[in-house]
Amino acid sequence: MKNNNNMISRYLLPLLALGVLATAGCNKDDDDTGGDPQELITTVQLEFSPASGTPLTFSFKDVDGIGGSAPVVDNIALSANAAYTLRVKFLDESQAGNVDDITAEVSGESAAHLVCFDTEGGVPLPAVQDTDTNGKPLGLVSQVVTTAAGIGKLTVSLKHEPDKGAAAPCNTGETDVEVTFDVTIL
Amino acid sequence: MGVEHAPEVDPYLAEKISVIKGAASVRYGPEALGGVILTEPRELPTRRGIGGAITLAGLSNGRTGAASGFVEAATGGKWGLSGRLQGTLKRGGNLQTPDYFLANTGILERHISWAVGAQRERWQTELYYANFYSRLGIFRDAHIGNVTDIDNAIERGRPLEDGEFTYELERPQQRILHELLKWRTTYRFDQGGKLALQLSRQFNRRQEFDAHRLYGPLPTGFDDPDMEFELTTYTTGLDWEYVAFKRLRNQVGLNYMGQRNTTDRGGLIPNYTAHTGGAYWISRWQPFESPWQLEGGARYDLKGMEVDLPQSDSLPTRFDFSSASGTLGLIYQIAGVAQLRFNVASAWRAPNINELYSDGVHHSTASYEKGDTGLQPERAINSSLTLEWTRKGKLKASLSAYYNRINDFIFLLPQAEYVLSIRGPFPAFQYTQTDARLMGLDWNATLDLSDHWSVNSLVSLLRARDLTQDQPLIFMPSDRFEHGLTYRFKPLREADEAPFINLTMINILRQSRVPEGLDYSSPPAGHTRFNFEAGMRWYWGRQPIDIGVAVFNLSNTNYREYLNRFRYYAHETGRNITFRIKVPLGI
Repeated sequence: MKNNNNMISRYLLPLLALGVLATAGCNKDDDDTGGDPQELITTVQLEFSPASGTPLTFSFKDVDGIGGSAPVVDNIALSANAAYTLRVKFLDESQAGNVDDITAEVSGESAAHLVCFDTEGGVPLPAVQDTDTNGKPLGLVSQVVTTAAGIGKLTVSLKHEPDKGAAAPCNTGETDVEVTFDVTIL
Repeated sequence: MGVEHAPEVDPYLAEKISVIKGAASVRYGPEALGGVILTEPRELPTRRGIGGAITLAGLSNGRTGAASGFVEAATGGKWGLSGRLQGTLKRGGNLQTPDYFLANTGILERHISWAVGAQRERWQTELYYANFYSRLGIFRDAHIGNVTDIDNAIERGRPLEDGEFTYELERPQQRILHELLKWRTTYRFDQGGKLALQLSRQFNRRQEFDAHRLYGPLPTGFDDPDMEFELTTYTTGLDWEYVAFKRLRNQVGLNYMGQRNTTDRGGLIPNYTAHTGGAYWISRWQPFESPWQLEGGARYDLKGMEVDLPQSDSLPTRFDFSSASGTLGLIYQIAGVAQLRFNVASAWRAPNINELYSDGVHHSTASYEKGDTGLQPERAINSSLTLEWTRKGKLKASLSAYYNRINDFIFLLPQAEYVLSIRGPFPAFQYTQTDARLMGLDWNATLDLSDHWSVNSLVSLLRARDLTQDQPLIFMPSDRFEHGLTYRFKPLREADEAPFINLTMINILRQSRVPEGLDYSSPPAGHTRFNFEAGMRWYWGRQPIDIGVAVFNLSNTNYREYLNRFRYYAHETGRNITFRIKVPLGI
């Protein structure tokens, strides 16, 4: 009997411990369900509506996200001495044949978003027309009044949770979108 | 897992922290030949009895509190059974710089471990389990969308708002679970030989909760991480120490490690399985009555990695690396005064999964990082010369010079063209290899001026260079000096350690050796700060109580640390007054 005990301690206990290790290894959490698909903004669309006539639409598209194929960017062409209403739209075109308009979600959380503009050269700065639920600027709708012919650049960005009370609200918040277009005014 | 992630260690558990250098480090793998930092829990008791300790700590910065305790017991006698149960709880809120709070920098940690052991004749066996869980707030203002946001933050020089104190942990947040089960059995031979077998399983789960979704509302709870992945590691090690001849001691061993990475949500790196196997040999030879000692070690390792990729991908999915590494050391003893050590080692490291496969935006740095599946292992030749000088009760000093050459050093090379995306242009980096050189001096000394006063000095200098491009390496520590003065009182009881007070001055120089145009902002200015520490053992009746007070950044200096990526957004934390009592219990 004593011998038996010895056998147990010498060989069986280590084996038992090994068994614990082995079974612990089996219940591996391997559910590769992937969670919710991450939502994306793939496209920024600018719609310039003149007082009369058909609206002009230009877009910045990066359907496959960062890396891979380079984004496709339209050149903006506007007329000199004209007034346009500029509407900014954000779209998800990552699934072929299924365009998801995200603009509504931005305006739905209008206090947490701000569309900012920056220009270079002879491009006039868009004047923001719309406001959020607190009466602060939002930027989805703005007014662009061109004067002389010329060339330049227009940068459109979407800020998330900016400090709209700051001296320069566009220097705050987290940038979700920042795209630059070449602009020609004829 | 990247530069931002330090290993999880419970400081109340790790009682033994040792730095292993020279031939002994061969045991710990081909990458470890530069030295290994080992943190080990205290050994199980062998004397019959019950013991334990309670430690309470309070830290002013973050209004952090920690409580830790353990009980241990041993039966002694023929079977030598022993066991220990240990737990730690820590909770802290938002940290504070001298001028403002850092939003969402709180922490919650929970740690529990147990160990059981038995000892009989020459056998000893021990089973150990540890479970470490932490929730970590990620500094809110470091969560940025693109380079414009970084530039705005640097321009501002500090966060947008002063922040306020709260224990509330919000998004972005990390939740980490680390589990370890380890079984170790040893058998002792005559004349100090030993055979040890160790098996372990480690499980790591990391969940990341983003501060916002690109659009749409955030989930209210924390049931739905934006990223979740698990790393499971199995290791086996067999080590045999023996005395080959009278003055020649050998150690040989085998290791195996299997690793499986599974991503449940959010793809950062592909899933993979890795197997690493190695064999090593270490020898120490001390000729009789000779001042010389010789030590050497060598190992050979194989690493195979199988990567799961979508079938559409044309990248390779199977990697095999193998190589030898080794070390040779020569020790010369100058009787009773000093020891001179020369060591040369060759080490290698296989490329990591992120270095091979990264392809996307690294959000904390707003950079686009691209891996390279063609990377080769890094190979290093390290050499060092150390002089250790000791005069008992008077002086203990060590001066070490090292020169390390790393061929095929893997680093991120900035690309000329930015990558254009809907979020704006991102600076692009590609994992590339170069030849690098790291050399430096380490100095550490303690000198007793009298029975009460002593001074200590620590200097660390490093010069690191990219030899191929002939420019300094980026993100290398700058020169650092620490000088302290200690006063020791007479202890209340003979056997106790003397009560002390210590004042230390830390000088950090500005890193002036950086490559041109690779960083968003230039390295921060150098600075001086002070730490204060005092400790004593006090008696409440017969019960000893250890009391410690420490103040970090006593002068409340505003500074930034070059190696901290958060330096773009905020200063380092300000004054932190900490108080610690430990009550050892024994029956």
